[in-house]
Amino acid sequence: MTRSEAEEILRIKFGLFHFYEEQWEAISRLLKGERILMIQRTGFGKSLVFQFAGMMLPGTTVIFSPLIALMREQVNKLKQLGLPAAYINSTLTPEEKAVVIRNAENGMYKLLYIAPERLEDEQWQELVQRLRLGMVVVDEAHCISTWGHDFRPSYRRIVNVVKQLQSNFPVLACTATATIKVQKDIEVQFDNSRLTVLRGNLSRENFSLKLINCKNQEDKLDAVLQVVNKVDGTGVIYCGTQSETEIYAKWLDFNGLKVTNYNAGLDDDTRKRVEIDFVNDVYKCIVSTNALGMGMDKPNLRFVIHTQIPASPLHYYQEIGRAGRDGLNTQIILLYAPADDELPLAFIKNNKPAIKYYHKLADILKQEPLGLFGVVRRINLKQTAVNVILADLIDQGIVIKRTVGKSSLYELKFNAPALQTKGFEDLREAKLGDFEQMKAYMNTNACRMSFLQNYLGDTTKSICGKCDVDLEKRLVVNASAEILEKINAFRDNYFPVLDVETKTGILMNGVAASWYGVSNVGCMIHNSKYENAGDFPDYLLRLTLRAFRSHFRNMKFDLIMYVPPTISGNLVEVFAGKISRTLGFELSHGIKKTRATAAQKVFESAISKRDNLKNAFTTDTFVKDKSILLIDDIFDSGVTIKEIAAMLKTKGAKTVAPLVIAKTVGGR
Amino acid sequence: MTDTHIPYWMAFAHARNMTNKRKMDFLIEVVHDRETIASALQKIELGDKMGFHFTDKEWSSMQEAVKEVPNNAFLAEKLIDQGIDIVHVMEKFTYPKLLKDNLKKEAPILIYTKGNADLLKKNSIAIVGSRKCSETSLHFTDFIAKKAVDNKKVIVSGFAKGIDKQALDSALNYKGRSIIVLPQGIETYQTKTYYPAIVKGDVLVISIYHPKAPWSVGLAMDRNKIIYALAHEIFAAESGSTGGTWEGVINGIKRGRKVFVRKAAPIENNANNLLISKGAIPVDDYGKVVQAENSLLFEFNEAPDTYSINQTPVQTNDGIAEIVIKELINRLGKGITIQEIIDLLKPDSISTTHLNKLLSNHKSLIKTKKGRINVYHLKKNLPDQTSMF
Repeated sequence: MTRSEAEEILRIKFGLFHFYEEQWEAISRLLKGERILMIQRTGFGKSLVFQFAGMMLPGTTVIFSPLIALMREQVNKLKQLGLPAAYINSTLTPEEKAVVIRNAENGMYKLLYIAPERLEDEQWQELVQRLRLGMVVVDEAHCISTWGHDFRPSYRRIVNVVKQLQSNFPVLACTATATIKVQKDIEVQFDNSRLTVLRGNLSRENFSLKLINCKNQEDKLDAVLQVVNKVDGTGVIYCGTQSETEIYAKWLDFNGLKVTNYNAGLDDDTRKRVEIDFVNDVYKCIVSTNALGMGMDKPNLRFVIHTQIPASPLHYYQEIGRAGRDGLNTQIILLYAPADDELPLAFIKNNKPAIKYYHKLADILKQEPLGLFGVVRRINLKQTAVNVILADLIDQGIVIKRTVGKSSLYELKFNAPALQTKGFEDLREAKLGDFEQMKAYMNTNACRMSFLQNYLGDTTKSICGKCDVDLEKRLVVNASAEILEKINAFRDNYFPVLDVETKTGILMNGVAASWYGVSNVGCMIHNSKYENAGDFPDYLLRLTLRAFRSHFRNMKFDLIMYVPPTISGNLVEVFAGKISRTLGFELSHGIKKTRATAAQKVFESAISKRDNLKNAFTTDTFVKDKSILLIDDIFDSGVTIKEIAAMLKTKGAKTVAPLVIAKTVGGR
Repeated sequence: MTDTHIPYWMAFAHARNMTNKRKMDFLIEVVHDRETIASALQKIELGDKMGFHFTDKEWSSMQEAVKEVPNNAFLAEKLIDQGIDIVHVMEKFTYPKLLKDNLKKEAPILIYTKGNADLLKKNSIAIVGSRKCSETSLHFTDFIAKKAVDNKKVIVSGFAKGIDKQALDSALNYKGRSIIVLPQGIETYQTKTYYPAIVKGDVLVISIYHPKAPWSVGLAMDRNKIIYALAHEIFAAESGSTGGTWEGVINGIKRGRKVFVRKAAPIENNANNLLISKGAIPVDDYGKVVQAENSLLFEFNEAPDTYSINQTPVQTNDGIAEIVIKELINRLGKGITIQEIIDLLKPDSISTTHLNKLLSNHKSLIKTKKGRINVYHLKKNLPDQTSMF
């Protein structure tokens, strides 16, 4: 097929007139059965390459993509053009999935998008045996590499599939974010003798990259407010932790802006709703941890603010990458205070659990194959840590993950090789090096965009003329007295929400008087609990009552109950009594333990915490149809509150609302 | 393992309408032409027959098979990911030599294994037998397995109920090692029972069928030849006069293998002794060879000295069985009816007609009539019955 023939088809099928030079090169190579790694900036038109080639090749092209929202978007667009495309991911209902699978088996799709995790799905495995395959596309191919910013264990199996594919079978891997090191890694994993790399200009000409120097959180709150007020259109604020997202969202809300926070702690439904609302411009901005980057398709993001320094220029380039895809001017702002280094450095230092747990886990699996929860229960580690260990053990060929139906079992492999830990050290060193590069980005005297391009291995020499360096403006914020007063007023009236509502339970969201560990509140609680300092001080009572009024307003409760202590002591009981007297709601001492339980903090994972308290509570108080205010001192995982609420539900209670003195920063 | 030819091997091995022998002939051609399976199938894809005389059916099957190569890439990835090793017949070091030596051109093109593949290189015995079997056969199996374990031999079995399961469980019980030869695709093997043993390296699971092939009678019959081929010695504990064990032993004998069959007592309802008459080597309950030219217990008058029970006193734990046998011999002296035999032995799977037929045809017995009822006697000139014990 000649280029002009192809462009004729392009006009008819896609309504476009020309390919870019680089697009056509990739397409013509794929049509010849070659393997391509294409590194091009976001918005370049990578998807047109595989969509067009996929239409031309015989059979069905399978596209692995981790971006569920983008997958949906692309398929919708293809359908509008009348092109046969579909996707299979976790958002499909079983019925929808069955239809897609049936159609796919009948060869009805030219393009089939699937999430990498689907490789473990039995229905997919059945289907792929019956598909006439045309091409395999690996989108976001940087997820293959541990040297990248977003390594995903699920990509390991894609690599292995590609290794098995015959040499004359077309494969396209594409990404917008790959350093030379990541690129080399992808080349090796995909068998470099057969892979052609096509690298493009990664400059984003519509970005105004700026660094704003701050001293502390007050300066940052000031800066965020200024930027959000000044820039037209919608944007994203990235924070380092979930609790930070809540603080910034509340701060903007306090200033009368329509914003919402969005983080990994949200349930799927809420997340989806936030995404749709955001795309429809309901919010001025959303405040997120970097979990967001992969979630949504909105081409007109006008600004991205980072309140926390990212771990590397690669992370940064990726996180800002989705902004301004419409090509219009976009503000990209990084706030930095000297204390910010701690968080990324701690992440890098603690990126792997202790080696002894790797051995312990392998030992546990010698006796029987176990599911994830089984492993978590036996090893007493947080689920995230267990996931890291399992991914490493699978990667090193020590453990096998076997999925049968809906459940997965982890098995130890016979003759498993010894655990290699040197790679962990190397990775840590590399990540420290990457972070140093992020610091270098901040301190650069050259154009910031050219710094990023250079870091990514794009050797095009250019100057954006828009960044603070090129404009020779050093940006500094100094919060004024006026704004500081406002911030104080905000803090006095800001109480962390306890996000515990579910569709089926009787729990409603509650409130904490403070964050544990970021104020002197934690200290006071500790002294009373562990240093025999007596009852919780009245300051805590006043603060808690303010939190109550701020959150629940004038809501009436039929009963006040409290969480019984694990060992002894009546601190919470006395505290609840005082609240009862002030608010005038009846106090019940009726929640009892049916058996002794261990202190929750002994258990690392939510599953083990739940096991510890399962059916551990009962009550003889008459709670039928009552609304209950449930008091405790510290809210961490929320497991205790949930277990008690579940018990009260069985006794016929109407609602349960938690009120606590402090919420831990790590908890939800 | 990253042999990128595996999807091609899978396409070739599981191609329909072409016998194993014909596939082997083609492979010889491939080797001769200094091609690989991948380059050969790529030629086939382009219509080049490489001078091999494919039948029309074979040719169109091959054409179909080549198209499945990318699909096989997905399947191969999954299998390897799940810890399954895939070994083709041209791999010198990993493909089991016994299979090639014993099966020649019938040797499977591909084998799928899970577990300790080194077991394929060890001295091995197979213990085979029917799914429904007697306690005696199970004891025999257990004893043979124990002896094999003592001698550091690997026990090959077929993963069916009855004898197969006993052989496997005994092997592991005595801290020995075992090869399970599946009558199905390896992906359909899901049992967790032998997981610790596989992890430890004491069990190897092997299948020669398409990984997704479900269990079938046909495959169960077919895989017996693999069991036989993988074993240095073969012991049959119990066989019916039809079915897998029977076919297996008969085939083994035809191929010139030594097959040791447990010599059955007269009261047993199985075809062990018939197999012995067809050339299997009789062994006693302890696996010791007995040189009975004639296979049936009651013919000990012709070779009384070699009758095993004479040599090795019955060491059965089952005292009742001993009493029963004594009683039976005594009664045969006086004459016994079918009903009396049945009352005495309570065999659960033999019909009166069948028993009548067996006894009527027996050279050592005389049939007389008492009214309408048959009475059986031992022939005269027999040694004193009691000397047997």
